[in-house]
Amino acid sequence: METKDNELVILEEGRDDTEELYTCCGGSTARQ
Amino acid sequence: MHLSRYLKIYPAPDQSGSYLLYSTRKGSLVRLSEALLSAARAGTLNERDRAALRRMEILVEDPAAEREAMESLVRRTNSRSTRFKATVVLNLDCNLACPYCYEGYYRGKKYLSRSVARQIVDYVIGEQIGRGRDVKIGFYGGEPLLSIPMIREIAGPIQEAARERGVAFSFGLTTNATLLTRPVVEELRPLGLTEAIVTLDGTREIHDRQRPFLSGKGSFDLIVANIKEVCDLITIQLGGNFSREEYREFPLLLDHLLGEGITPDRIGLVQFAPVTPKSGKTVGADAHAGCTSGSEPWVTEAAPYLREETMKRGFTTYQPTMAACIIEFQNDLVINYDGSLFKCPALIGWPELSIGTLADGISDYSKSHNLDVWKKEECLDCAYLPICFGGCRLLTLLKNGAIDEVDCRKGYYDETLEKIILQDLRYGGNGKRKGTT
Repeated sequence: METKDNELVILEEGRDDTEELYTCCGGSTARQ
Repeated sequence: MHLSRYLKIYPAPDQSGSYLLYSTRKGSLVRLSEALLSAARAGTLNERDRAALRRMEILVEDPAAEREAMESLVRRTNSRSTRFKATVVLNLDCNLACPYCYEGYYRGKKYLSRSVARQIVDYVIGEQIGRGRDVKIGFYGGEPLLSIPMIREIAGPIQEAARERGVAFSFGLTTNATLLTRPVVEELRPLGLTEAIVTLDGTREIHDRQRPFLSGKGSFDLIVANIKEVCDLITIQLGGNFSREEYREFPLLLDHLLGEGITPDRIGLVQFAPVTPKSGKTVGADAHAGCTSGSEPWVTEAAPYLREETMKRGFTTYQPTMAACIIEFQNDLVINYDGSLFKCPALIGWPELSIGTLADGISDYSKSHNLDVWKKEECLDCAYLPICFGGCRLLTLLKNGAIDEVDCRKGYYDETLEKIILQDLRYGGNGKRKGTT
């Protein structure tokens, strides 16, 4: 589907909380 | 309004003149026509579109405030943390003899004693549960299931104290899964066991060469049988270590699991990673020692390839998310079998990076671990900062012999992030944030 001129399409809303930080270690990750 | 600095812009596939805008901070994704992208840059969007892009954090009101929010995020996370996570190294022994084992230089018949177990229990109950913190323990090794009595001795009283105080407690295992039988899981689950991180290194042939028993016998079939037996009781997180020569065969492992009835709904995350060098010595530029850089061309080819093959088969895998190295978090602690304390399980190969002992407490490690090494212009202005935060300090240590700079992932993300975003679009974003909550 073409994006029409002047069209904005939201494909992914993203995280609710941009304060949510994870820790990454040894291939696994856990929420802080 | 300004475009966020934590933003990547890619051409939309099959749509000339359109663009994908991805916020590494928010994880949001929009598609815009070229005209709208120009308007966003010029600040001439209409009110509705401006509000939408503001909500997605693709537009920001104050770029300096956004940068400051990222710079202070780890500190703010530490100050509001209400949980404690301990990785407890129960032993450095193993019933497998993996040639690439990163603990190879220091493994042996070294086991956590009952007196250290008592110290752990006292510390967790007194210093953590006593302060109202939720507690999670990751039992580690060596092979943690060679120390089941110690798991009981540690988890039992902590679980009881957590219950009395009204805080949460659970534990996981990083295990080779050869001893992860149903009776073992049935015994440990009432004590708080919720998950196990297990490893299968590709096909039976590759795995049995990479992860044999001490006798030389292969371990693949036993591990698959155990996963099948316990995956309805606990969450199985599946990892695997791949090499340049063999990563292309790893999808056959996923086909094998599907054939065995280990379907995506029965296990947690699937994530493969390149083999890293043995801990405890600097490898410098020794290309045969293992991978110390995600920017190596074969890794930037292998990682998205394996992610694609994983998602194609319906398994859940990682998504880029805001994550920082474990050493940055003050409520994360590694307790070695002898009671010495570290900030990352792989750092126990460098005794000089011990940050204290259970008996004597924690010393100031901000200089030895070069905390905040990523707080420099180059990183703070980098679009990848939210999903990198300076990368993996172990890799820097392996390369340089000290944590003296960041493990820059710009090269890796330049080559892979666009592919990852397009995968999520193709497969409906069935990737999830890594790990547990």
